[in-house]
Amino acid sequence: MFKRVSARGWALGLVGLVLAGCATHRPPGGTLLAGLRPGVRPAVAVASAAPGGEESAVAGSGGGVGAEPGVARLVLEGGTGGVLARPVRSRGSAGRVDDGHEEARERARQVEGERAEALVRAAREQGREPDEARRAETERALAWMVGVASGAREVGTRLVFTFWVHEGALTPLGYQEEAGGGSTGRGVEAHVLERELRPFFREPLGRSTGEVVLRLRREEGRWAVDYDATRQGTRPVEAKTLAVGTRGTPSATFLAVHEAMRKGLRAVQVWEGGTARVEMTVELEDGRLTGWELVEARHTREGTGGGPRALSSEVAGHAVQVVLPFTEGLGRRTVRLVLRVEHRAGDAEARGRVEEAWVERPSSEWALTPERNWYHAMHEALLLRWREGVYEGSAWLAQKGVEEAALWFVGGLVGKGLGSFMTKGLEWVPKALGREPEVAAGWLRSAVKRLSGEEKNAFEQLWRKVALEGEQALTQSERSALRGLFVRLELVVQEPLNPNLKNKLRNEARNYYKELYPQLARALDKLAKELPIHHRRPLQYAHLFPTDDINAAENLATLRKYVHDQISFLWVRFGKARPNPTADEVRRAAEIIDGHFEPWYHRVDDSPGLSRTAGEAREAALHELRSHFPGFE
Amino acid sequence: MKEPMDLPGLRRLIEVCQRLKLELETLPPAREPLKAGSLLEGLPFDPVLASVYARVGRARFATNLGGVGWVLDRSDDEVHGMEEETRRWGEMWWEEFGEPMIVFGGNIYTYATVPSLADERGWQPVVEVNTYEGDLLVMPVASNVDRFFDSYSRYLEALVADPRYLETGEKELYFPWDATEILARDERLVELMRAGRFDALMKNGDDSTRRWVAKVMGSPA
Repeated sequence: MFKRVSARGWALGLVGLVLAGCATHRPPGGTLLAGLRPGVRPAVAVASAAPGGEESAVAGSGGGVGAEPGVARLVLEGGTGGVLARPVRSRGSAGRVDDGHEEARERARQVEGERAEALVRAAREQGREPDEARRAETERALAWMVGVASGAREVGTRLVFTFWVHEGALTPLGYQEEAGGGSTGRGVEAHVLERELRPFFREPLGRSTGEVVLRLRREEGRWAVDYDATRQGTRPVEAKTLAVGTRGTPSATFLAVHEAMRKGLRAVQVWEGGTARVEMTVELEDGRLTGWELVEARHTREGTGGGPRALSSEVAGHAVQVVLPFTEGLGRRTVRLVLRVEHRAGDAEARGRVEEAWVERPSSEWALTPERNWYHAMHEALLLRWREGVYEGSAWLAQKGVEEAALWFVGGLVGKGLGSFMTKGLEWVPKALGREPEVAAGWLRSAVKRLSGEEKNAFEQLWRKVALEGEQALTQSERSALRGLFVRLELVVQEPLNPNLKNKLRNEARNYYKELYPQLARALDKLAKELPIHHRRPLQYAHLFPTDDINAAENLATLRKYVHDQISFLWVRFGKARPNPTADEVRRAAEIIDGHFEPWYHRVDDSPGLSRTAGEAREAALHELRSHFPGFE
Repeated sequence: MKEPMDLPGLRRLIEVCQRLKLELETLPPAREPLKAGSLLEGLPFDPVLASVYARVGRARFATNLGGVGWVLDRSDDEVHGMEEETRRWGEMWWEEFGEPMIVFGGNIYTYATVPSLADERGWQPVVEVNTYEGDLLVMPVASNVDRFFDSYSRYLEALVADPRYLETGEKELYFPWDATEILARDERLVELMRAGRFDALMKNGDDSTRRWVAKVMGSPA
């Protein structure tokens, strides 16, 4: 007897051994943040503290080589110093410029990691009680175990519950039930078993980290419990690291799982007196059921010759009971269930129990690379607030815009494979978002600044909905609106920046630069006028590089104002020679200027040992620019 | 000896910084500060600016807010930063703008008085000058230096009261871009703008700058 069923479309079979065709309901798309190389912590370019106390000189340009004569010394009261210890580079060396870019990238990765950590910390701590959440985890897990055990009365029955434990956050990884074959034991009241189990939630399920297996063995009038907490292993991707303070499963999740089990198992029938093995899968994404499939219903014992019998509704109920806690995990995964069903003589319907349930993960998503870890941690943190669903949680979530959570926005876009839906027909947006996560995050952060406040809010709100509730949660008009916003992004990144946008981006660049070079932050605050943040490729040409973040770490450098003025002078000349330059022309001019001025980059003083002044560097750069760009004055 | 002129704008700015607990640092003035009308790089020194330097040798306002804070260049017995910056900056940019200006402070951009646009008292209007990487953008911000301090103090009040700033510390309001209503109260500034006195300086403006100008002048773009 077999039935072949899936959520997408199913047909009733009749009798015999079955292997159903596998209907899958996975959304399209690739691997989360795929193709990334592991992050490397940057070699820190340490600031050497300037000697002195309250009046530490961070810049002594008063008359040294390279200083503009007569320019006042920069003095930072109470300063912590601010001279980067990076070796000064000689001019015109493309290889060394590349080294500088790589170093900047490493700093950017580090900053993104720190931002992700800060967001996770805030999600865990702001306006909530982590201890309360841990207690809620315990209560939910206890309810699961006691509920499942209540239906197993055969002496000798063994139940095995496997959790991943992380500081009180409990994620079910597996469940097994082994029939005992003995007599029916006396009833064990729920509170008795609960009392038996509760100590295990202090140790080993309390605050340790790793895999914990709890084994229950049915005796005549009680359950014997033991555990194994020796398996450490690698944290599965679906495992929570933050305890969630909810009391039960959301009703929508319960109803979806219930519906799946009811439909799936309704299709199974067993010959009178026979037994069968039933295999089902449930596709999950975070707490959402995204698909299910009846994979197999295979006869394991011939019947006694009577007709087929349907399964009792209690079988589906038991399956729901087993599966629900698995919805507490994170990300995309499959929960596979194996049930043993049988019909006993004299019964109207067949009965059955789940023998085994476990989580399957696509192997490519198994390992948590550092970059994937960032996204994963941020997603969990934001999901936590959403799951807890209290007003404060919603308000907290609404504040997490692209600025703070760009990596989450980008990681979700790539990971959920939404490129085709959102960005079909677009050129620059998919390219920009397809780059390394910290690069794409920076691009998105700068790009949304070009949207109006209303557009930015709408983008954040719609994308949060997709990320937390799934694409299918969007209404048709919301889908159109989100698609429209991606189209807007595509357009605005090709438009020249207006002065107000430049202000915003300069302010953003300044704040970002302070994160990249914290040892210079104080000097940059105190001496904003004296220490401009230079855009190596100018903001006025940002639209010529639509896939690049104009505020990327490698495009920023602080330097003394009088040096920056020399560079600005060169760009004025360039603008006159090339009123409508190509991207290549801008790129080349920036390389030439970098080649002559790089020794001053990332410094709040004048580099010692410079062989020429900023004015001389300007003249040399001018000479080189003239030779590359005819008409250059 | 002639009494230095009253500077209600500067007083207000100092009061606002103190009230809002924004950073405020001043240095004492020079014993012999530059006098009104004396020549600096061949330009008449603004009487209002002279009164400012008669009170302080340098000042930093709200610099704890990063790029939106504002610094009055130093000019005292030890350092002649304002004078030197005017000379150095003038060599670089006067020709580009076709207009000599006296640089006296700024935030990430430079602030300067424009001697050629002085009124009958010799008071010079103030402009913000952005020379970043070829931008060459000038925005008129006040009819005189003290009026600038007044407007800037009102901007700081608006910035700190902005819900976005209160909630997240984000500074989404920029001076003078987001201060059109404040600047519009400077009648003399509006008169100068309406008369097109800044047009030559603002030649590199785009549509958005023209809309900004229209907003300050209270007329449709």
